[in-house]
Amino acid sequence: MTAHDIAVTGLGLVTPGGPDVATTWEAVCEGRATAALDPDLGDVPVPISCRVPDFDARALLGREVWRMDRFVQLALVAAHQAVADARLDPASWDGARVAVIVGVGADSRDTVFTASRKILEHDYATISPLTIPRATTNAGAAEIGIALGAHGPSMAVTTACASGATAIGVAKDLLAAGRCDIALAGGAEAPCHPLGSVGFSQMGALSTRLHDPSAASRPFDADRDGFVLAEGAGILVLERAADARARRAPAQAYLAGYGASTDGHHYAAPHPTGLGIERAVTAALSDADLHPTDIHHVNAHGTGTPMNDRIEAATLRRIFRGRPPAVTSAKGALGHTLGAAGAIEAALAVLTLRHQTIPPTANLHRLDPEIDLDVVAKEARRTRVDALLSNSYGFGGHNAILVLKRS
Amino acid sequence: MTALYEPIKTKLAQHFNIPEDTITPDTTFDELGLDSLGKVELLCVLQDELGLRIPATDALSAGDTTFGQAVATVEAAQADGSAGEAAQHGTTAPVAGA
Repeated sequence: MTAHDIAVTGLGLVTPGGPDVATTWEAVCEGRATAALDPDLGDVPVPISCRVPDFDARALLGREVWRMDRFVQLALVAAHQAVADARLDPASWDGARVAVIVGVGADSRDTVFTASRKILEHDYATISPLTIPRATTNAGAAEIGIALGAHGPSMAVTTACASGATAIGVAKDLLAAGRCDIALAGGAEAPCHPLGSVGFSQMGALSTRLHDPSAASRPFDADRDGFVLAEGAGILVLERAADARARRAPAQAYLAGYGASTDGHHYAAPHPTGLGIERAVTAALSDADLHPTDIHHVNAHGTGTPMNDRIEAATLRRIFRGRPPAVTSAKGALGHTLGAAGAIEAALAVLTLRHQTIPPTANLHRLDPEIDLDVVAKEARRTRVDALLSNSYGFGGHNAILVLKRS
Repeated sequence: MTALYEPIKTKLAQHFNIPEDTITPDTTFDELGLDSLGKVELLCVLQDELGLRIPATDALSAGDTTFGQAVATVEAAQADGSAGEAAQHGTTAPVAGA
């Protein structure tokens, strides 16, 4: 352990696999695909999404949910879960030393879309006065701060689909620099809206497996054809390891390293040789003072788009000198939660370390012959995992890699 | 009780997650937990979902405005033919802290 090791002491998850940590972990370990036809998407070309089941924001958060966009509600519920899991009491903590960092890929599509439609229809008088407060990208971090009395540094970070992992990395840096003692960090996204669906559809990024929606998200599979839009949130409680020990809070895992890079190549396509990914992994391993041979598992970005999966696989083979460790992608089960994905997957990575279990990649039936990886499929694999990578990449060429170690 | 009282009460209860039985003509917006943005939100909901035409007004801006007074303001606007034109330009209830 290094002086900068950060303990993960709490997890909160609200995902298509379930509205809490336990049900999400169960769904992912079972390889239970959650994609389905989504009637709320209307007659868009690809009406498939992964929604959070059994999510009653009003029951969980009370009356004030009318002020909040859905991505904020998801973030706030995950934050409450994480704080409770960490055995922290916001009523008694020193709020000035608590930071909140929430990654978001894009601000509220529903709020912006609704107001835009009314403006086009000259229906100005019915536009909500909360259009701006609901839609601002920092709304998740702000509402968590309000609800939990967190008065330290707070912000939204946005690196597209790497946002959740970037937020956790930024929180690690804040803790290491002594700018806070507790950080609530993660990501949230609620993109299951016609605007999000049509936008990604026009890019050719979505699976069009309309005849078999539950099989649409199939990372690394030979028959993959794109990702499935999903909503969700993941929040982690992070503390310096020494602080966690001092208050007798068990570390569920250690966040040992963080590395970030930017491809600087193309807005929507990864660098063809995976150069940016490699730089971020190298930086993360260096930060953790580990070597590739110390890594037993990679929680891949693995979106299920043909190009992304292939480049990620080839890059992992190069980084690990032809012998990459076992890989999985949670997106087969949960779909792609965009700005939340990196945080949700970091939480799943913590659970992998705790349970010494790598979940399978749902819907992986026939590995793409050009992908030469040991991808866990069909069923969860019980195995020794002392350290792992959780990889996230975002449009714009953003790469964020987290190194997590067993506690 | 006026014709718009119950429909407005129902919208208030639904949109703001307020138990209907806690809303009386004498209940103030402070007691209902609606600040200035909340009151503008209510006007927008009434215009959008009930089709009411409500003029730009600061009649609801005082914290001690009661629900009964608010309904009376809305009903007066419906009786005033100029309300429709004013509504096209949005509400102007004061908002602090922006």
